[in-house]
Amino acid sequence: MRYGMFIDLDRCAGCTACIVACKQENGTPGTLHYSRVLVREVGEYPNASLAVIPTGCMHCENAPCVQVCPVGASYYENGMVLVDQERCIGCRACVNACPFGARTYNHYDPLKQLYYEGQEPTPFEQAKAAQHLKGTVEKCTFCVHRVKEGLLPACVLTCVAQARVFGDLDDPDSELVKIIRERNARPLNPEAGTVPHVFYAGSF
Amino acid sequence: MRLSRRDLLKGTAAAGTLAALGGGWRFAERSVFAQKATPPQKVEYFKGYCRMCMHDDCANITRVEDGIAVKVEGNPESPINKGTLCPRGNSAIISMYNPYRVKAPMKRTNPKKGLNEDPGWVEISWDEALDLVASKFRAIREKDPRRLMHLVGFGMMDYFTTFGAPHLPVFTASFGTPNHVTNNGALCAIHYATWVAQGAFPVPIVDYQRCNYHLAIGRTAGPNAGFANGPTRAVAKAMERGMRLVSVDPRCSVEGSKGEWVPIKPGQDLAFILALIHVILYEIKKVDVEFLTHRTNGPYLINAAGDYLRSSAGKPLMWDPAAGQAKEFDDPSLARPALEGEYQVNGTTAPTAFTLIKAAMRSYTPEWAEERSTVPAATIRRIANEFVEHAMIGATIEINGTTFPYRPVAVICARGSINHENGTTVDLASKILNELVGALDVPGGVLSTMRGPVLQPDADGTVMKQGEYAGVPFSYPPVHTDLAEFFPGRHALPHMAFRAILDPAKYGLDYPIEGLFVCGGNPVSSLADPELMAEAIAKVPFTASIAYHFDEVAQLSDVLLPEHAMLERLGTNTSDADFAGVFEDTIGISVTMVRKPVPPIYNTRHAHNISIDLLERIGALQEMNGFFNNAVVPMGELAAVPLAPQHKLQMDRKYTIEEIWDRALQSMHGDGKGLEYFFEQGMVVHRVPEEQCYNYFYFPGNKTRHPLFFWGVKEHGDILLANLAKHNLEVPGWSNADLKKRYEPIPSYYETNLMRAPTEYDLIAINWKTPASMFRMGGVDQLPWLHQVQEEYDPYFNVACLNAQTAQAKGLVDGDRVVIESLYGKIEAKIRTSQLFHPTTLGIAGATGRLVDSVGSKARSLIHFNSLISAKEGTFDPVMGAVDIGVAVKIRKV
Repeated sequence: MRYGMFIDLDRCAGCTACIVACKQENGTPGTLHYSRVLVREVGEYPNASLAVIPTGCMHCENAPCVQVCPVGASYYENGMVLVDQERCIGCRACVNACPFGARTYNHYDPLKQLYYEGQEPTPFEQAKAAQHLKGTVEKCTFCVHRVKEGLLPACVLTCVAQARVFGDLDDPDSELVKIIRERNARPLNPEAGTVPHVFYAGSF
Repeated sequence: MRLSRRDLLKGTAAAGTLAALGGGWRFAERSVFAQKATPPQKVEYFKGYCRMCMHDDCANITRVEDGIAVKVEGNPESPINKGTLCPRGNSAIISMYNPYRVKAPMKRTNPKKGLNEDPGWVEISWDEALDLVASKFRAIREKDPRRLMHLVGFGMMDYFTTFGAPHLPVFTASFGTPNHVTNNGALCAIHYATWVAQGAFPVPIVDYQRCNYHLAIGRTAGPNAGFANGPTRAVAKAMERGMRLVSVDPRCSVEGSKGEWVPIKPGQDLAFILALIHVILYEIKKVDVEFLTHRTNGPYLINAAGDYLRSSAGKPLMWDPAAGQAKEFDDPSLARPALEGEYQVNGTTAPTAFTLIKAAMRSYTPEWAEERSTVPAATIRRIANEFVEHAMIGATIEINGTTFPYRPVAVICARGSINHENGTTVDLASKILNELVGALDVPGGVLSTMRGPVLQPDADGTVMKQGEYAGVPFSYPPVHTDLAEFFPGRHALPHMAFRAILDPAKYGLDYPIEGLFVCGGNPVSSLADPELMAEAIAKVPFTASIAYHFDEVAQLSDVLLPEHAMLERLGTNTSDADFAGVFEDTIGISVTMVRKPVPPIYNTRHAHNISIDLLERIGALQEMNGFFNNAVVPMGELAAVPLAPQHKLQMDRKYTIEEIWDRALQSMHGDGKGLEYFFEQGMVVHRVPEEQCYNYFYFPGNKTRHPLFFWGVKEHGDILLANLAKHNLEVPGWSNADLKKRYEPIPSYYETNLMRAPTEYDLIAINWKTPASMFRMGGVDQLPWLHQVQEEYDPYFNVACLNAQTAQAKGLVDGDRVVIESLYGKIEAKIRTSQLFHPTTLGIAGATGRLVDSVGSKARSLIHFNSLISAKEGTFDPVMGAVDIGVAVKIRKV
């Protein structure tokens, strides 16, 4: 079992629904996001266009973040890269090691860096954000808690363009493996040699 | 706080599913964020649907853990949104927990009203609040019910007491005032021409399952808005199978990037469209003669006055070349009328309508259009050719045994091109373009959101005048405070209503507005001339608002009646149409959804129950019950149901919204299928056969005619002008000669205020909807999750976008702070240079910006585009009321 994801950049509208769904699902405090959508302009007026690419943790097979972790807090599991929050000492070696900028260090007490500035924490923050701990490193988990319940990661379910496919890279009959093959999808930044589990089709 | 994996596995759900997933699974015993430390005691699910935009198609499910809403996601069972939700829909929880909500009924203690006046709110009981409001409104009703204005808007859009389309709005009808004013609409008045040409509301849509060439002029086809209800996927899939998407827009959007971007100078879409028509008629010379001859009024003979030449029986005449004589349009012996030519009838020369249209287009060459629109003449010629080629004129398709013409092309204009002073003309011209290739209401082409016999012909044989095309009868003094009598094709005229409140005599109104009842509309933030709007509201002696938050209108109110947030609000919506486009997987679907409310967190009530309580206390309960018994219960934007005999209401009893909807749902779906049934099921889906989704089906062949020559529009103008002459009047802002031009039956080019702006105003500010800043329903412009994603990931958010070369010429670089000034207002913003904007354009994205601090300093700090625009008389579209969203501006560095 090796979980992976396919993202079709021809379909992605850059609408950011994935970021907000991720925010909601994981209850990340303050302005912390696991999921991102990067935007850039290509060409010059009038032959210009907008390119968008959703990113996050690439769940690499040969992950520098796992290698540099001095306490073994980052680990592999069913093709996913996860962080054991009990072990993380917040040294941030992994933040620097990740070639995709996927990791974030939690600088603040989750109930002090609030959604609505200058207001009380919302009941949602008290229930969800409060579970995140200051002084540790966080990142996309492929919504492992949902996957274990047989659900799709939040970003995959919510994607209005249905640009994302989630599945098992080890299963040759899975929709994921088929679409990666059909669309000749490839990872970002393969030169880094990290063997990502997120594959993109379309131009980037 | 920190638990190990071992602890987590004690949760039964996790352990159970682990086993079910089989042997491949093995999870290390470690803790990962976002796993709940202690399993909740109680988990509840509330099936519902979203209302974070006006489409309201998307089914959702809210997960509530120990009384706290922790997740809203798309209901995967919905055939419409299939589990997906847009960024706004994903923010519903944070809208509910918005600390700037009104949390209890409030009474104003400071009699002075203004955007900068502290209202001095004092919390009161619901009884006191309702009694106070009802006593004021009852006094108005006894004196003169017209003196109450009900202002509604997208903020509270469940179709019950506040909206009644396509029927009468219930609150206003029961109260007895003609003054039902919809605040939404003036900045999105895009409906009139579709009423005219297709007999339908609200918008034309594309048959994405079959269309091969979509020319989107100032329009979001789907992806730009990130709509979850289908068009984003449909456009993606259509493009995967080869549909060409051509986006004609001053801004290169995501759609322009995925398809082809044709940059155009804002406000010059009419020149571009007229030139396309010119190229088709004079250069390509290929049109759908069958469609024009048999399905439009193109062959109707026109007299010297520009009216239909009629028989002695009053019927329009066409020329029968076979018989060499004119015949009534429905004469069975008239097999094939002449489309083109001039004919002698009873001693006069009468050309066909098509002949006049063609002659009128002669001067609109691509070179002429290039001068105005900046779109190269060669590009205009190429697009015209591609459009005609892709139309496959003459092709047919069989669907379930019915043969249809097959025209896989669509030109659609929308807010970006229509919401201008000349918007009616722009949109009518776009209809002609589609009609030239026969692409209206047939497979592959431009459809409408209404299915059924909407193309039914009137006595003249052309599509019946319905909705906004039916017009408002003239009377003077005017009956309506929004002056609908002067703008009979209007979509919404809140801008005139508030001007009339300030100076009723100027407009001939013989009564003032003494009470304002607001439910979901905000003309201060979401219209033009914000200060003027605020001044008008402040002038009304008594204003009561059903309020979600302390917005500008709340700030100016006397009493606030706090309402539930979307997730707390019981709702039902029947979406009886392919609202956002036709897709192979959803065509023909009709879905009824019910939102099971999550328990409210504050002392708020359902907006409709507040309205019902007020009607009872005002003494208008019988009128309301009578309305529901004798007419219909609105169940959605395009759906309504008569109550079944066993569900009729007792006239003297007060029913709650829960009771009425329960009866209405059972009347619609059968006994036993009321609220409780829907709370469990979430939705009921029906599907009509595919062939019935193309309105050609109901009136095939020559059974109806789309207007190509817009005689009905001219007729409206003639009647209006005759009445104005009779009363020796002019519509303030327009000379009668100006008005006549706007009601011409053939679109022609004319200058607008935008084009006449003083030369120092050398840029044109434009505005567009974005996925995260679209409308303001649910307080979208206040929500931190949406602020965050835009600030971090949308480089065009909360900045003034300027073409890089234009910026260079002005000596501006990224981050420079500038003052942006129009003839009407002034704002400040940071510059963002870009390759994605037309050189004449200053782009400001989204519906943001506030004029009060009480919605939070963040929302207040965002750019307020609407401060730049104006609905001054003489500057908006006098036919449908559209306020120009393009405005000439000058900028200078701070």
